[in-house]
Amino acid sequence: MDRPFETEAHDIRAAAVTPILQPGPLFWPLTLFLSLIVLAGAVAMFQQLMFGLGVTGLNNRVSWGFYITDMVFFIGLSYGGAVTSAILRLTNAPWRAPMVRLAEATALVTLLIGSLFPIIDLGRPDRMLNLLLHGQVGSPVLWDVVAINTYMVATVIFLFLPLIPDMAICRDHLGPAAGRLRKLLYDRLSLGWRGTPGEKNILERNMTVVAVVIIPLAVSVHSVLAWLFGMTVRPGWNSTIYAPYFVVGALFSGVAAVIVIIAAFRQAYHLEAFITEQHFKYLANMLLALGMAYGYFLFAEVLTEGYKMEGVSMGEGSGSLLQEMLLGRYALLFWGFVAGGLVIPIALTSLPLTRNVPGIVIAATLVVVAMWVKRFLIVVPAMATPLMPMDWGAYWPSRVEIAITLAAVAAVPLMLMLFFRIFPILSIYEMEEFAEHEELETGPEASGVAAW
Amino acid sequence: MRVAGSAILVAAVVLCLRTAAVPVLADGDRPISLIALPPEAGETAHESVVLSAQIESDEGPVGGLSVNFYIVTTVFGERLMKVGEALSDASGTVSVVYRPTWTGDHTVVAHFDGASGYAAAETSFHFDAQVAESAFEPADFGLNPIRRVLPFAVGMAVLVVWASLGFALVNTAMGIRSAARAAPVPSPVQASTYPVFIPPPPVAQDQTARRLAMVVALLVVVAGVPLIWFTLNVSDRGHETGVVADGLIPGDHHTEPVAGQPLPATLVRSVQTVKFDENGQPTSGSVPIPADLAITAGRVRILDSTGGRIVTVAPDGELIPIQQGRGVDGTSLKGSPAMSSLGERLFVVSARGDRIVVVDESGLIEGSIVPSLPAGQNPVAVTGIALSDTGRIWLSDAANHRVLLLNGRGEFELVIGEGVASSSDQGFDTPTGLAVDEDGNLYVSDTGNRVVKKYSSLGILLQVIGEGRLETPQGVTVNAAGRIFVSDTAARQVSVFAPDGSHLGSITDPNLEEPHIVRTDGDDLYVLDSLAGMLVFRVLEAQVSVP
Repeated sequence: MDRPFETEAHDIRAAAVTPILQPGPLFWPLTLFLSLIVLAGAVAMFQQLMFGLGVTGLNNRVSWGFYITDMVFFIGLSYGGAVTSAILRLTNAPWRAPMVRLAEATALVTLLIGSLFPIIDLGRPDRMLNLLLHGQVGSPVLWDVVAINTYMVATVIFLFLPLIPDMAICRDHLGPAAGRLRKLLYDRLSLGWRGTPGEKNILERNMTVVAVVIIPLAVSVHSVLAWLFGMTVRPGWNSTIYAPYFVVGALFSGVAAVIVIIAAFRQAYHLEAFITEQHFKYLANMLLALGMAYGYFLFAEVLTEGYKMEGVSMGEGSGSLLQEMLLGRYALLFWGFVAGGLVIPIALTSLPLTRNVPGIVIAATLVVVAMWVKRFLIVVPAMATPLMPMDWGAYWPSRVEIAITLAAVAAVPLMLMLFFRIFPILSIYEMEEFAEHEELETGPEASGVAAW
Repeated sequence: MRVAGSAILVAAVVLCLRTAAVPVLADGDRPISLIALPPEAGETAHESVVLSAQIESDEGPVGGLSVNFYIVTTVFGERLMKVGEALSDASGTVSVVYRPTWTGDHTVVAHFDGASGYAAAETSFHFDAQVAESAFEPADFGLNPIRRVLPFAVGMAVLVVWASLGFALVNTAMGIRSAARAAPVPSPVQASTYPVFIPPPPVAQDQTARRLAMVVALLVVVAGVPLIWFTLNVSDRGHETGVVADGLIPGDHHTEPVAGQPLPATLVRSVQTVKFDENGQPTSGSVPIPADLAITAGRVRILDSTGGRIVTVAPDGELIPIQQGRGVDGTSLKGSPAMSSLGERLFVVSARGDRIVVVDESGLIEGSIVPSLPAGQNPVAVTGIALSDTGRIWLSDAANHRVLLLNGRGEFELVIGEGVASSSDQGFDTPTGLAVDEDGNLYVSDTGNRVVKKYSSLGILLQVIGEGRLETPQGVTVNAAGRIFVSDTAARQVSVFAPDGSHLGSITDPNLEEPHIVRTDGDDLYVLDSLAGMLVFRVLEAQVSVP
């Protein structure tokens, strides 16, 4: 059996806290660069608050554009981290240990960003209050907000619980290098952890509870999100497969995002000893399976829409939408998605020649970009399709929307970089537990783990 | 419960009788008084209230007269919402049962139109409802019990999830504390598991890397300034800011439309195509979504696609239906997308695009021209129609990105377009509006490519008009002097071009909201706006000068 990691215990700790103590020479330039992009997005947001949604490309016909695309995209990304981590935890897959922290942090960060977009799309953020004051329990919108908030709390707890022992390690052993504020934070967040068997037992039990809860919760979030579309009588959205379609799509893009993030941080902080090529191959297996499942859903959707071809002779309805998608104005985007999001990634992750770290990372990057395009194709063409025998609606994103979208994209690595300036990048506790467990079974020499 | 509810409602209803009868006299009509009576709780349900009034003439109570009751609503402006109609009984009392849908002050108007020799009368009164039922009453169908239970069940599930998460968090915190109390000294497990931390060996800072980092930081700051400027330089006029969409829609140009010189044009007429009666209801002549416009012998006709009819615009702005039935062959205009005229006849494309309905001056359907198309040319998703003086018919097929030419009998003659979106000379990306000039040349509004293309009657491209000037060209028309008028929906303007294709300017009236059809008649430019109705501008030739 391949060991998930072969290294000395103190190396695990050293590697886990490297971003805290020695972030590297490019940390601050990169932080500054990403901050500027985020600042530009904040300025754009300010413009929108000042002048209203008139500064966007949204209009009477196409009232959902980049913002809703971004919302679906970013919340989808959060899936990969949370659900993958939860499933691997429940199945007790030992290889998960070095990457769960990165995956769970990605889940939280992308969820925080994605959940902002409905508010941005409102134009008047204060009107979120109306949801509480005048919420309709029969509306998917209300339940969407409930589901996202519940999922967010679960994600925070899911990230926090395995951090407790790591916080204790940092509290006890980082010394003055941690700084006063971080020391205080470690002290508070470690909850007095001392590593006794009783504490470990409680922690393991509750981590299992949260892992069990978070899977259906994550499924419910994207199902409700899908129903926002599926319960609207519009060509392209009027579908019964939307909930599982969205869930699989979210997992697909989420796993791809986890691969990209892990690869970036692995490269930046030299984590090759812990996150090996084998980890990428395991993740590539998931990406491959999810890609094929998503391809199947796409085929089922297109076939069903095409078979009905509603209103094709009137230039309205599903038939016309499908025609525009497959052969018309959206054909380049659609076939670009099929090639870049399905065919090429599936080929890269399945062919032995490209089934290595660079090939898998390229495949994952393509999937992330293509899945954004797919979300755009879900949202905008359906809105632009005429329901009456009239002209097609038009949507062109404005600079404000582009700036805010770019800011959101930049915010993901920025927030992760800042997060790992405070918290260990590797789950020390879990890695040591697995290493210790393996040592008991095979002996210290065979496991390669020192007696620490 | 019901009695209690009724009592509450009766107690809550505060009567403010305010207005006495307002008789409206006509010649020969006898005056009549309409007197408001105190509202009372109804018997059908405890939320309901009985609105009553009494009709009296000089001779006493009058029975058998019909009275309408309205509630004054303030949603989307102050309007009257009809809540019921009833006949007065022998005592002259007339009552309707009303269930308030909001709490608070209600103004009720009771109105008698005038009949049976009695003049019209009206009265109003207030009541304060403190019990109301939801305005969003779900439709009654078999799944109602499930629908009532489902939100409760989902809510319970959410609570269980929150409770589980809360339990996990609190249990962990409490468990760790109690475990710590149980083992006050460092336990052997802790000692063996957490030895003294060995910090990572200090890495010698590479000076090259440090210098590189400084350079990158400097570059970042330099690059960031234009980025901020780019974002700050955003106009508050959203429709003028769309530039990058070109990258999203294949075939689009990569240039921002250039705003043209404002063209002097006087708004001489504005006709709302949606009109409301005194009850706040759309009148029978209303055209919520005007699809097309044609001018025959000085008469303005509007195609009402949703109503399946043609209305004529009277001089006073009244919309008078002239055609709203079916032809002898069962042809209907319901859903018709486009219309054109030749002489005094109107040619209307049917909803499915499978026939062209010919309507005469009086609104009578004369017959239909059934396009005879070769295999592969169907289906036709027609969005525009134009006729040449010789009766040849051009049809734009937006979904198939092509334009078809038929002869007067509907026989296929020519097709321009590749069947898919294209920006080539003989290709279109969503062609919409069409126009034919006096020489028989065809003008096609190529919406997706953001230009207007001019073709000869043989389908040869002569000119591409409006490059870099148009955002979403929709309607197109040519006047006698050869000036080309193009309605630009997204830019909310009508752009004007000289016969040689040069841009003369744009009509940017603030009344324009979504102009989609343009037609000319002498110096007058008729603009059909999806939201603003019909607008007529006077554009004098003398004012239109070549820049």
